[in-house]
Amino acid sequence: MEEHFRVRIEADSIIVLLDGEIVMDMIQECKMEMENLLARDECREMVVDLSGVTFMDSSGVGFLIGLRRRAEAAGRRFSLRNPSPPIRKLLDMLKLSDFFSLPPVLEDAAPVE
Amino acid sequence: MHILIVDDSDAFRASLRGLLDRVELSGGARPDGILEARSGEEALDILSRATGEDVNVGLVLLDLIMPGLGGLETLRRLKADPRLRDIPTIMITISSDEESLARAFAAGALDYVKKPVHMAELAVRVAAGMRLKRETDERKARERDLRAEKEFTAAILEHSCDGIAVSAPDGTFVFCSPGMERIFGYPTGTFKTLADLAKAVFPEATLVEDATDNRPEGDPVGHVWSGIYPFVDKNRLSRVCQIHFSYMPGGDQVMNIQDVTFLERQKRELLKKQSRHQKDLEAAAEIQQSLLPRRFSMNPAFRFAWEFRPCETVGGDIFNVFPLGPSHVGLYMLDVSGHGVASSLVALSVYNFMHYQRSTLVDRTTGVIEVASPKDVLTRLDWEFPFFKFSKFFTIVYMVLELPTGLLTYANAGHPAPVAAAPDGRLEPLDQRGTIIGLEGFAPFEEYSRRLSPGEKVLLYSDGLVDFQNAAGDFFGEKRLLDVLSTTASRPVTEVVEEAGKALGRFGGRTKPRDDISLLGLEYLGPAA
Repeated sequence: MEEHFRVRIEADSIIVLLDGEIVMDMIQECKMEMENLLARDECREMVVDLSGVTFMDSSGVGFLIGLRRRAEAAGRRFSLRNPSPPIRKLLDMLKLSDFFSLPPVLEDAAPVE
Repeated sequence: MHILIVDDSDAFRASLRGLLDRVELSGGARPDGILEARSGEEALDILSRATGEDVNVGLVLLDLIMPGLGGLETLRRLKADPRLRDIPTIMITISSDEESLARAFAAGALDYVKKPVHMAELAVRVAAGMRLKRETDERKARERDLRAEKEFTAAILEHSCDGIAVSAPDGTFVFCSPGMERIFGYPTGTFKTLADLAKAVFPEATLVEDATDNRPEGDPVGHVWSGIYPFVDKNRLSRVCQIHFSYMPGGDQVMNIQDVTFLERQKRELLKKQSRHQKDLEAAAEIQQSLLPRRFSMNPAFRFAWEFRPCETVGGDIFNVFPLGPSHVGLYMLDVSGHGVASSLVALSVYNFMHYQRSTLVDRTTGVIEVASPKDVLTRLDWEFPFFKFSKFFTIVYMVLELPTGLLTYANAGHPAPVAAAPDGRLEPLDQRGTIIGLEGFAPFEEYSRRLSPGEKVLLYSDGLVDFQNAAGDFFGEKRLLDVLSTTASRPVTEVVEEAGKALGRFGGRTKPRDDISLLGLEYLGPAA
């Protein structure tokens, strides 16, 4: 099976690096594993890194909303980081940047590395 | 190879060994060693042990007259033992006792030498004996290999679950493997020809005709074809087999027959399920489309038009236009996340919740009809459809147009910004909006107002429109939509929407969208006279 994500542990944070297209098929394959990660004792925070994501549909957005809900129910912090420009545009259109704790983009400013 | 000397005389054995050490055997072959036995009994004992230890005795020089068993009886026993009978035996005799020699030859002796032994004669006979043994050994080894190979092949045919049959060009079976019996239920040998088999087992298939038609002209070796054939086994059960046909040098046809009944059944079940699933999707799509608004309005203050292109797997788009009391018109467009039957069910549920007579949209508590403000409507939806309820969220833009004044009030929950188009072609995106529906009050919704002049239009669309990808992989995009709107803005909204639909058709051809495409246009005509 194709790998859709990698996991890195940093202190008490679990960093999940998603790759490729976040669509319905991919979600069904990795939902369980993500939930298992959230259940780990050392996990205080989950950060989903979107830098490798090339496409995301509304099922993908729903998947991230569901993850945030579960993280909060388990008492973990949850945030997204590094969305590529098209993904950032999608999240901005849905006005979900605050919900996912993404830093605001400054208009007409050079992207912050 | 070893040579065994059997003689009761120590002196003779020693002299014979001396001779054998010195003889020049033709072909340069030398014995590996010389064994000695003092009697027939000892000789048989040595030979038995030698075969057990893998010592190859290639020749026995056997004295005819010895105490005990004697040469003749020793020879008989030697030839009676299957492990030893191949060892050539040369008898050693003093006299030319014709009768004893005749009996020795009858018992299987290869040759004889007379005492005293002459070196040259001994060399020739010993060499001939050893050569014979070597040739016998080689022949036996070949036979053994051949037998093992044959048994192996037979075992493959015996235990393979496939049936294998070979038939001559005229259809006569040359070979049928036991696997055929397992598949068809008839004992091997029941069918003499392919036609016999076809008649009994394949009553409805054109097996014989196919075999004739598909046999290539000229050399058929290397040509392979196959077919799936339903058959009836000996117990009158309907089954299915797959047959691969190939050809041997000489023209015989090989059939590899495999029982695929189980696979075929699974395939049929799967197809049935798939078509049921497809029918469900089509039914859901029909219901979704039946909810879309009528094509025209009777109200002289506004008119509207729409385009809808459903995606293949049923999406979650829905939109509506309806009167709200005597002086308002309401409209919305929503897009439930994901697609499939679940998304369309949620869309249907929101559609019901957004009915123009429901308290979602109008308040009657004060005795007069009061139109609910768009931001309140979105807030109500947000509490009614929390994400966790269906694991779905949706985007929606809801607008209320006040007909006497042209005042448009709207609230937007994450939906693509509607576009206001003035008759002179000026476009203005109405891009103020809040977050999606389903986050249970995460951020309060705001509403915004704008006055429409007579002839001005507002167009709502779902993201399926700009994200529509054609076969070349290009996206329809916002720009194509805005171009159509600005060039057609002076015309009635029905034509604006129609032109946008044509642009979609030109762009996408027959490509099915991945997501529902919705476009809804409303035109304000001015206060009704």
